[in-house]
Amino acid sequence: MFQVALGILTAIGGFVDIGDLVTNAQVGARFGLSLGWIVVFGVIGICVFAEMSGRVAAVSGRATFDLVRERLGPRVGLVNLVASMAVTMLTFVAEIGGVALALQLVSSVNYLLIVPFVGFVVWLILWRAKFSVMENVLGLFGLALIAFAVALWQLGPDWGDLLHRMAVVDKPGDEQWRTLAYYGVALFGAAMTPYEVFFFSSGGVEERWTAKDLRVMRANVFIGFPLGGMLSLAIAGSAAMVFGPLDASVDTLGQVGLPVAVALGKIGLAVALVGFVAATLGAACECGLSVGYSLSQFYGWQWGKYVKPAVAARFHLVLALTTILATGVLLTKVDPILVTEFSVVFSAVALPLTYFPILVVANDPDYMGEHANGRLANGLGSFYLVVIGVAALAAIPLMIVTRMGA
Amino acid sequence: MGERDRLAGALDAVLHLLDRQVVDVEGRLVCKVDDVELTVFEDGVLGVTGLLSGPAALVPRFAHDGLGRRLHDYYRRLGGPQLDHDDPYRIDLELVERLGSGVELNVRREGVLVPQGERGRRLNDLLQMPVQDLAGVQLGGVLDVRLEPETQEPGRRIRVVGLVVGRGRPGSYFGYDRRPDMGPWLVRNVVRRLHRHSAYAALDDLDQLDWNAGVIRVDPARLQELEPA
Amino acid sequence: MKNPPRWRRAGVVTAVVLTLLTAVGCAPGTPDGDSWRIDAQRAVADASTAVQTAELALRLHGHDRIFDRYLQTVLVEAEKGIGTASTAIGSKQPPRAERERYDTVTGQIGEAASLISTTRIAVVDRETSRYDALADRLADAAAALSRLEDDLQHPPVRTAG
Repeated sequence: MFQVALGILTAIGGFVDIGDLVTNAQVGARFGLSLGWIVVFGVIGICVFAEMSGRVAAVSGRATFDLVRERLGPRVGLVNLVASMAVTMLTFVAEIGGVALALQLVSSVNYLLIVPFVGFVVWLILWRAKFSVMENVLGLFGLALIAFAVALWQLGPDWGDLLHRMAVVDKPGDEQWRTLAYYGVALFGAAMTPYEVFFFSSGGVEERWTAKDLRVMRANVFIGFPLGGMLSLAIAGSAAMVFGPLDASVDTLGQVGLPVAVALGKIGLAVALVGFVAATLGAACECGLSVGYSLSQFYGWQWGKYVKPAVAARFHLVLALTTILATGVLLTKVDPILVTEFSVVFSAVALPLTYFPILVVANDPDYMGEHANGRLANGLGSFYLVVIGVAALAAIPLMIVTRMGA
Repeated sequence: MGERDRLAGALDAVLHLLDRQVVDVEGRLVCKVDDVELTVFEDGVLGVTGLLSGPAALVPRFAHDGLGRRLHDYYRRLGGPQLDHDDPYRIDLELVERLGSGVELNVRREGVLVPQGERGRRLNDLLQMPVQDLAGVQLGGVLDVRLEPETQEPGRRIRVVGLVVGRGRPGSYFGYDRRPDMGPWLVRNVVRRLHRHSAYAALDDLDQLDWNAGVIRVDPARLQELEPA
Repeated sequence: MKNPPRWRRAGVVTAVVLTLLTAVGCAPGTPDGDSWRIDAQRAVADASTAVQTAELALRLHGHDRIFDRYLQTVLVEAEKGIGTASTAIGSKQPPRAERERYDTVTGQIGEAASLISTTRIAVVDRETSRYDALADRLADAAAALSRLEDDLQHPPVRTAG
């Protein structure tokens, strides 16, 4: 029972990362909750695919990138690898930057000094910490983001009106449809990040899941992720309540936390800051590991924290180099918020490459035996494959045409 | 994992063997099956005798068009006089315990990867050969290679029994040729439609399998319907 | 055929490139005057955001709902934001008809920027007694920027002569 609860709590706290924090606040400030249904849509999508990839990992012991190369072949697999690694690296940079920004809100240290410190901490965790300890500690502290749900409650919105706006796509008068579409794709990409699936399935192998763990895995996914999605909506809603009337846009992490200060004062803000740090640090570790997982699973190297670092030398070398590279990029004083905005859009572009092999393998009776996809999983999986395909094709043109949502 | 041992029955080389993870007896990861070693036996049987791994086996798999060939040439030249970049690592088939979702060995991974030494035939050679009719008109390429284990020999042999011929890249059937009822509906129908011109050619029905010239000739009349496994 | 001939592949590549270029080209091209006006609107909106965020954070401090460190970071971020907006619009060449509005826009944004800088200096030095007065001045600046934003909704009014 404790294990189940822990898994769910970890999933809730681990669901939100810098992309969700920033994109949901931006969208909330600008469009209210009229794009909220996209968050719901994205949560259902990630549930479908996380469950599939988790099931494959539990039943066959094979993680996502193993399957990508196996089904798509080495050439397409390599294209997939390069694209996925690039997007995950971009996200990794954004997450480490997010941790640094969050720490800057608490301390007086110069940002450029915090960044290498964060990079070092991330590398240390990736090298040394036990997988389950890392997951549980950071996931639980990430739950502190509940402060946003409490804040929204305190701000006393008109709930009926809020829900109505979510259900009806209500375009604010001075906005264009294509801008709405761009932010919709960005929100979708923030909810369905590729690294989430790499990490979830590889994590399943790390934690030695078997067919017996399927129930627990499903509880984590179907309860944890939706509750995490509700946190995203709370962030959007509280931003809408505070910044909507000001007609102001959200472009900094400091702004994201202000609604909590408005509603709950210093204590709420402190809790939210803990949430910021935990969520972004957790996501940074997941991204870093995902880069290592993808590369190792493509080439067949020993990977994972479930073996000693000496046994998975190449894997840990990749992790170290990736962290150094990401830290280096941040030290060029690039704005992490800008990197985040790019990463969510490119996540939407890279999605189909990752999900297609999972969908095919989850159906393969040779792999899955009696646990192959049923009609519901296939129906939803196929539907989302089409949606993901459309979003992937539309993402970059929308980004260009709306000039990144200006 | 509870799946049956694929090597005990008929299997497809590209779908079931190629690009699979190799795992040692203790569950540690060894390498990927980057290519498969084929041997022409005295009795004319073409069989799988080992698994190949390493860049020397992987890079040639990209060489089915101009860009890939240039990459392969470049890789060869990088070896220089010190390293033979044509010599991959080899795992003998005797060391393979079973084929589940990955290739499971019956030994520990230390010392299991040995340089192949001599350049034998490879599955990749077959996959890159065009398939032509008797007049030399292109029919397509090799999408997959059907294998069956022989049990009567001392020491197991896995022989090539036929080729799946069609258009597109090897492995692009994603397994829907063996299991026509595998879901999901949308993907299955798109894939099967793209491969509607595929056929099966038994090895004995081939008119010519020229390793040196790199071409396969078959009489279109001898091509059979693709049967599910 | 297994390997499509070179020319066919080149044709596909060209088609893809042309499609992408057309898509990019379909980004709304606006006539000169409108283009400056839209950029000015954006700059004023960004400036307004910075000013209002700074004001909100200051007032939160007045109600003891925000930490000093957080307030300071928010102000530094606001200062950076309005600085970017100011540079962005200041460096764009205004069309003749918009010269007057150009002066107004850059002037007002400049004033708001220096107000935020003053506030940031006060915050870093913890001069809490000045916060309320500064917040009021920020509110005034925000109101002025909002009026300017409304004015920029319309094309320039042609003055006689």
